[in-house]
Amino acid sequence: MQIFRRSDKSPLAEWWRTVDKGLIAAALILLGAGLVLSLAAGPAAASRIGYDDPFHFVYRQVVFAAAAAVVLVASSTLDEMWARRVCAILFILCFFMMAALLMFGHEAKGATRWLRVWGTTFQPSEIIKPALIVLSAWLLAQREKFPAGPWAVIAFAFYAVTVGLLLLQPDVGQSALLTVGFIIVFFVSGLPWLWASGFVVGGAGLGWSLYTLLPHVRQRVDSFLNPTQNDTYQIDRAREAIERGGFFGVGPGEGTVKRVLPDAHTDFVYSVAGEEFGLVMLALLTLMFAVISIKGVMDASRHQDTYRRAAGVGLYAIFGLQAAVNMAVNLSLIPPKGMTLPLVSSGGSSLLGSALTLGLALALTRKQPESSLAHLRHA
Amino acid sequence: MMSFGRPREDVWGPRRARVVAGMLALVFIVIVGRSAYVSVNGPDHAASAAPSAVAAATRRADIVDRRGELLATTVPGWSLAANPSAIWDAGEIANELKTVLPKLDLIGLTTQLSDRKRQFVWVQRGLTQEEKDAVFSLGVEGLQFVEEPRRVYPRERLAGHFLGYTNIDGEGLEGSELAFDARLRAGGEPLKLTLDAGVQFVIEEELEKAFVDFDMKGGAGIVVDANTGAVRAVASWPAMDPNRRGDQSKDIRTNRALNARFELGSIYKPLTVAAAMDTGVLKVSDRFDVSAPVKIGAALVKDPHPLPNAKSVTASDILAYSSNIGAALIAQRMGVERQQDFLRSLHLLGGQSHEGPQTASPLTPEVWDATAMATVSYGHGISVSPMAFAMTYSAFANGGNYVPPVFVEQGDGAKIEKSQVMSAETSAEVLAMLRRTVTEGTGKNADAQGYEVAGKTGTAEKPGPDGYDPNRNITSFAAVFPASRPQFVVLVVLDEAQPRTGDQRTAAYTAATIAGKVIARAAPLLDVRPVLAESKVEAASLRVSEATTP
Repeated sequence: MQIFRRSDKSPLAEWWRTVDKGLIAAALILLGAGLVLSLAAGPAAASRIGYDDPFHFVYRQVVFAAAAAVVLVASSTLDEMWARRVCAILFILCFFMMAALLMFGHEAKGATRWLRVWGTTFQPSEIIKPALIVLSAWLLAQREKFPAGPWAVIAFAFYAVTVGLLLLQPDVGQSALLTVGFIIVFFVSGLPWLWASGFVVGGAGLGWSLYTLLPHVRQRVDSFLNPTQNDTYQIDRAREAIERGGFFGVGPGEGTVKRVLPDAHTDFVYSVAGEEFGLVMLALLTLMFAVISIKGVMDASRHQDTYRRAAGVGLYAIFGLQAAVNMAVNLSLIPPKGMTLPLVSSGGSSLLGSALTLGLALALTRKQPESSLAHLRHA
Repeated sequence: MMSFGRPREDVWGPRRARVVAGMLALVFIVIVGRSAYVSVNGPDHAASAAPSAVAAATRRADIVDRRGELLATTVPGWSLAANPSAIWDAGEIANELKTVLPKLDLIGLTTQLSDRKRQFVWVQRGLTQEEKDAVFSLGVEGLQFVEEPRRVYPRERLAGHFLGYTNIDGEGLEGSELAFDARLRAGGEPLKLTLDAGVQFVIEEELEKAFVDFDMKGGAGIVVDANTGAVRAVASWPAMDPNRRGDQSKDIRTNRALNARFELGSIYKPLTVAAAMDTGVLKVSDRFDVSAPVKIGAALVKDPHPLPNAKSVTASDILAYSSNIGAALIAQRMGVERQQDFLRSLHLLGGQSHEGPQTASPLTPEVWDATAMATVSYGHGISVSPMAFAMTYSAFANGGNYVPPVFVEQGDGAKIEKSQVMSAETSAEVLAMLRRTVTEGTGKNADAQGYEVAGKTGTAEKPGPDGYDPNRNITSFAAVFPASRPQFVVLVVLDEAQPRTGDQRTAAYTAATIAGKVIARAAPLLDVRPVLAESKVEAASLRVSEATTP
């Protein structure tokens, strides 16, 4: 798409030339799908929660989708240095917010993840994820310039405190996702195999202790493994909705799952899509996430700069994995995680967080003549 | 300090990234595959909408009367269930539900909804459309509607006892719903009863009016086609609305026409006369002295109201003025064995077998000696259901045949299970005596003009703690009409009728009156044309009454 001439050296023209426009289009399609699905699930949720205006969640979704689009484009224009600075600032802000949450957070559904800001709730863990990924990638890349520094240990410390705060909330799903993202960053940055096995053993140990120590984790896992004894109500209804939808769905507005599931507009929006629009919509959504994450990771893999490559791979990976986890829950493949569908689910922090994740990934993986030149210099 | 050797990044860097891309691709392939499997390979989509198996069952067949009028049908209905594990605040939801479903037990419901371990509890079953809409617009979580077909009886109390009802799962519990359960469950064409909703309405309304006049405890009314056994009306008072099912007392739910037994009294006398005449031990011209009580066995038989010319009465007089002495003397002529054989041939000693709701089995004398023979001759010491008794009079209307009751309309040419119990001559002679009982004797109040009612009153004292109680009666009237070309049998039974005017508690003033009114109103509905020849004045007045009868 030749909108700006090559000779145009303005920042906007520069951005347009170097950013992955296909991924932006895919992200906008997902935001659009989110709007359509908020029309389906929003009114039911609004009436259930008791808002007078049935379109409460629809208006919210419009506002946040627009904001997410702005965040997405704006953050994709950052250069690598500003991306890092923004992440550092966000990390510190969110870190303190999460610490504050533990003292006076807004408790909902057995977990303290939301902070009331301006009359609405804000979930800092959605923002801290991309920030941590970028910072760890940068820290680990410093090994190349300053091999003497304990960069891996510092990165691990950042990761440990963040996951520690998440576990205290407790938010096991996000902790697991962040852990996988961190391992990917480590892996792409040159993690030795010894460390990899250490992580796996440590992760298994952590998982087991979570299962034994935290009752709500145990209940979720138990109910998944042993459906007759425990509550699999949500994922059963979700799967049934997708079954009912069949190939083409029961039709817009004809769905029933949105009336029975409390989280239909957030965590279970995938089933709403499956029920009303069928497999066609599910395939489209999955394809969009697959394209964004896989093409993104491939884009990032071509970068010679370790920082950009690791950060890009990590960001695209957590974006895609979060979507995959959410869809897997809806399909009764894994126990409920309390994880939203990026860019699609209702919920401000989630929308902005996933837009930021994708925007930073786009920014860091923009085509860069410098890095190709750097590659030539190395040769 | 930990350190890493400088990695050869340009070799493994892109490769490791591609490993991540490959993993992601794998994950998404699994997701797409699972999505396709779940949506295309799921269970039957329509069936999965409702978790209950009830919804998928065949629609229970309707019940209609002989003219096709709808008496029982199945309509879509909903029941409200809750999933306590999906409910955050049980008390709040219970309170909200109580505002639209006032019958709910608030404390019990709150307790049920608080049990987070459960995933399914019924909140209320059998919701109306309005209730469903009201619950729906509450918009609270954790509730679901289960579609459950609901059985309704659009005519409400009409034939309520006979129709019976189903339980909430659509299984017949009482009456026809129980008796024809298999047929109704199979679905398909409506079950067409022999009942005539119009006649049924008449008899139920007359029983209701009788309550105003006589303050009785209970009652029953039956109209039967004497030639086919087709039951055109079978009513029990107090009436029951099957739509209300369980919330009615046992007294109301009792079907007095089929499931209660009564000592019906003097309406047995025509049976005694017929049995004797048919064996040849009694002739129309035979005369009896009934002026003094007679002792037969241990029983001293008396007549509460002395007959005119009591020293020399015929069988016809004995019926017309209802002489217990006469009936006992006739019974004495034929003996116990003939009496039992005859009553057995009329299925009054048990062994009634017919399709549809069954009748109460009779209570007969334990020792059938001379004493029992004497009392049974005028209807004491033997208890049967009104339905069973009504069928015996069909023999006076169809030339001497017993026909079992038929509740389901038969196709043309269906075989009628007749059995000859008396000769056509006997049948005709007793019928003539019954007509005289109405024109001259105790049955005058039953004489619906133009319909040539032939019938017999029956007044039986109810057994009390100290023998029979003269203040508590079963009054009855059994009739055949029209006498010149008999077609229908009518039986009215009133339990403890108490006339407010006068002191007459006998059937002549209670059951006979009701039977007359029933016949006057029901005959036109049964296509019986009135006989207009008796006199011009009568004919004129009849036209007027016909015009005013609804």
